[in-house]
Parts: sequence; C-alpha cells; structure tokens
Amino acid sequence: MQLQKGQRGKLTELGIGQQFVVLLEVGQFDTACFGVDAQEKLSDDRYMVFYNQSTSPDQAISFLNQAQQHRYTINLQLLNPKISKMVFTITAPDNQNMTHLSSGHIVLQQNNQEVARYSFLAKDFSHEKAVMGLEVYQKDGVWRLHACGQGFAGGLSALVGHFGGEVAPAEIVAPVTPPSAPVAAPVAAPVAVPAPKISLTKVNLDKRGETAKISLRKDIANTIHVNLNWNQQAKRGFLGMSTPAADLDLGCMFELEDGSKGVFQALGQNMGQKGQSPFIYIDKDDRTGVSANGENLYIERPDLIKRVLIFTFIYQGAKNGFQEVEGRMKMTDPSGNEITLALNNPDTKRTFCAVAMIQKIGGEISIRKEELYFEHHGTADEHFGFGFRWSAGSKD
Amino acid sequence: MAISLQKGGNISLTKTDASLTKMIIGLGWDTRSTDGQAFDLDASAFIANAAGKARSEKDFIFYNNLVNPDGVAHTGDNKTGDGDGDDEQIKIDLAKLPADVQSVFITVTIHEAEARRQNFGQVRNAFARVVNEISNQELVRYDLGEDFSTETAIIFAEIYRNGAEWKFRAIGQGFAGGLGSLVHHFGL
Repeated sequence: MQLQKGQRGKLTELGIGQQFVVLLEVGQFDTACFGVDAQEKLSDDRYMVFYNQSTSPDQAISFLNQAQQHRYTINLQLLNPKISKMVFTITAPDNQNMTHLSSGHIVLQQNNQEVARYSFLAKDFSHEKAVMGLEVYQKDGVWRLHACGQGFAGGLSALVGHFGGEVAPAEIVAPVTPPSAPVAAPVAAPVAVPAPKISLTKVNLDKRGETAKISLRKDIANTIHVNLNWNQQAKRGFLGMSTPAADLDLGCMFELEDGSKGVFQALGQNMGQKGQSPFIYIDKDDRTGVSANGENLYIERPDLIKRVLIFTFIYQGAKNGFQEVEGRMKMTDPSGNEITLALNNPDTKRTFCAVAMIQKIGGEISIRKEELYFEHHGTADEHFGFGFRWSAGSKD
Repeated sequence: MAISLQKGGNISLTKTDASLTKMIIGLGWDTRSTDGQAFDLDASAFIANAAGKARSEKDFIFYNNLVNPDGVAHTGDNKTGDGDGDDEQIKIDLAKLPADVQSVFITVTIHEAEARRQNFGQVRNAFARVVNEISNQELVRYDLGEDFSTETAIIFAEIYRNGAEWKFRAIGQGFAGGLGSLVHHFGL
C-alpha cells in the first residue's frame, strides 16, 4: 500500500500487529526515532533511538544501520506505556536540506513482507533540514500511523525543541573560587580579603551539550587535567583463551589562539612535552588499563588555546565498544572542581569518541560535553572542522 | 457541560437548550508547528432544502459571501489558524430561517490544498461546537479526531429541522476535491 503525505490509518487496517519493522531509505541522511509521551514531549531522552543510542531502555525500539537502510525494529508489547508516539525523523547533513534528497522511502514491514510504503521526493519539501517522516501513535487505545512529511528548517535542534528537548545547551556553572588569600600578608592589608572558599563541587556533565565553566585566573597554576580510565579486559575467553586487553587512547585535537593546530595521542608517539609549547601533553600510554591512574592529558596554558577537542578511541580490544570497558573521564580544574563523564555508547562500530570540547570564550574556559561517537578520527575531524589529514597508524 | 458527539451522532438542540434561538457554530483547528507553507482553513455554510440542495448561490456562505439574508452569517476569514478557541465562526438565527430550509451544513475546506499539497491528515485538533449566542453556553461539540487523512474538504456537521425542533448531527464526511467538490455536492 502506498501512503500519501498526510495519510492516517490504523495499524490493524494495514495488517500490522505488535511487532514490525520501519525501514528508512534515505541515502546519507541521518534518521532517529523519538519515543514521546502523551504530551508529545521527549520526557526521557533514552527514548531517542539513533546511531548513538541504538536501543530504547525497554528494548521496544532498536536501530540497525544496514546497507543504507536504517532499520528500526519495533515491539509494541515491550514498549513503556508512557510512550504514546514514535516519530521517525530524517535529518539532512550539514549544508544540505531535504531538497537534496532526490527520493526517500519509509517502508513498514511485517514478517519481512512490505505492507506499506511512504515515498517522497525532493519537490515535496522546501528548505526543511529535519523532517518528521512517519508517526506511529496510540489514540484511544488504538495504534495508528501518520505519513507526516513535515519538518523544520532549523534542523535537528528545531526538531528536538519541538519535542520539548533542550535546544540551547543548559549551562552548569561550576562555582568559581575567589582568589586565594595570601598566606601571610607582609603588610597589613587595608581591606580584609575574603577567606578562600574551596569548592569541592562535582559537576557531572550527564547530557550532551552541557557545559561547565572554569575561570581563567592568572594568579594560580591553571592546568586543566583530563584523566581517562577504563576497566581492563581480563576475562578468560572460550577454552581459556584470553581476549586481548582493551587499549583505550586519550588524545586531543587542538587549535591555539595563534592559529597553530595539532593532534596529540599515543598512536605515533606524538604526545607533547611538559613545559614546552603548546603546553599540552599526555603523560603515558597505558596499553592495558592496569595503571591505576589511567592516561592523563594536561593543558598547562589554557589561556593560549582557542579550542581543544578531547577524544578517546579504542585502539584494540573491547570488541563490544565503550560500554564493555566502562570508559570514564574526569577533568579537574585548578580549583578542584571535577567534571566527570561516563562513556557508555554501545555501538561497536563507532570506536572513536569525541568527549568534550574545551574552548576559551572571553576570560573563561568552557568545557562542553560532546560525547559524539564516530567511526574514526577523520569523521570526527570532519564534524568539528579542524581540517587535519589522516592516515592509518599502528603502535606495533 | 457540553455534550461531545462522535461521528454520526446527533442531538436535539431544542431539547438541550429550550431558550436557543441564535447560535454560533465555532470551528477550530491547530495551526502547524512545522515549517513550510501555511495552512489556511475556511469554514463555510450551505443552506439546503429538503432535497439537500442549495436554493441559490446566496445559500453558499463563505469568505466571499459572508452574509445571507435568511439568517446565516460568517464572521470573517481567519487566514492563519492562530489563537485559541474558535478560528472561524458561523452565526445562525434560527427564527429567520424560512420554512423551505431543512438544513444548514457546516463545512471546512483547505484553501489551495492541491497547490500546497495539504490535506486533513495534516490538520490537528479540528473541532466544531455549537454555542447559544445569547447565553454563551456551549451545547455540543464534535472533535474531528483521527478519521481523516487525504481529504481536502469536510462536511463537518448539519443543523437540521426535525418537526418543531432543531437538531445537530456530527457528519464528518470527507471529499478529495476541496471547496469545489462541496459546491457541486450541494447542487451549485
């Protein structure tokens, strides 16, 4: 059955039961499934299923990217009753919009048989960058579908905003420690210096896009310390064969105020040196995760940077991705503020994680959680636009 | 508390509110929240005789013919669907309707639906309600629900005589051909 834009119908009328597949054939465009509540809000962002989050917590929605087909397997029986609508969305890559997609199809399959198809052409759209393609929703206890085909010129952020998500990143501002009082004032200070407040606040950047700020003060050592740690893979495999230990690498792509750029990482032994320009270095390459304090990256002169993208990737081991090794990263500023984040993406193919962007904005350093997973360095660089040239490397 | 009708349901307006002489049919819908061409929905009324046909062109009350001397008036075109409550209203003065009038049909159509590739499947929360104009009491309400998809014109409801009383029927019949198909349907 061919669905027209705007068409609505009951799933049962199409012969669709509790389990079915929604296939999106949209070329290089990205897709997602938003599971929203009765108010059409994404009240639980674990129900945004896409390549970075391939399964909903109830296992009712799962995503697989297979040969240019984005395959969403749906099981309504498992679906959290709070989710009353699933919206399958299509998002154009940067600098493109829906009119760049010559044609696209959303196919509903039951038992591997096609039961309905909604096709669209470039001319069906104007300048939308993100479109709600198909909606599967419950109304009066009956599951229905709607070939929606409407969207937003503002792209994914407009779409997320439509579902009540955060468009502008929420800012968590870590308490800024006032300048420390001199230990012993040589001359009597005319004005009492406020007692230093040591902030031990822990800031967890749980959500993508959250930022924390660190004041750039000249009176203390301003080193930003990034620590990466993970669990060693010491399990015995089948027939007692040990699986190779997981080797995670910490690194960064940096761009300084003066325009110079570079990459530091263990791979290629390009790790920078303490006290030397550009004042960014990595202390060691922990090949196994046995070192109690993991791998550490230091930015000694944050005042010199324009931006530094902290990344980590799985060099070897950890066949099941970041989730398996429970990667975790901790950043500490000179005031003792800790910013921690967990790396828990289950996608096994995307073994490169852009963890956080450290940027100098005015007199402050902002740390923004990115946690975007990529297949390799190059695709990440493409996203952030540093413009490096990449070639394959090995430590052996 | 207004009575809510399902598609096909009917109710005696006279019995619900014996004081009813002048009424407002309020029609509403939600404007799109997405980008793209705006939706312009139009409410219209067709006065019909016992055969279900308009007696003359004057019986077609719409954005270009807002007032009919026999007691049916359109309060004006709303081009955007913005705002809460009724988007467009049609007023009926029952006492003025001549004896040869059997029904007043209330319709909603999408302006330039074909050119804009729009249909009722994309319109949300459409409703029709009857309000006693004098007491301002809402008597009955019909929510369009999820019954429509690719139609571009809908006969929403019918106000009709049944002996000495006036009744309201939730019709919800869709047409694919826009306002033109309705004009044809009512014999104009």
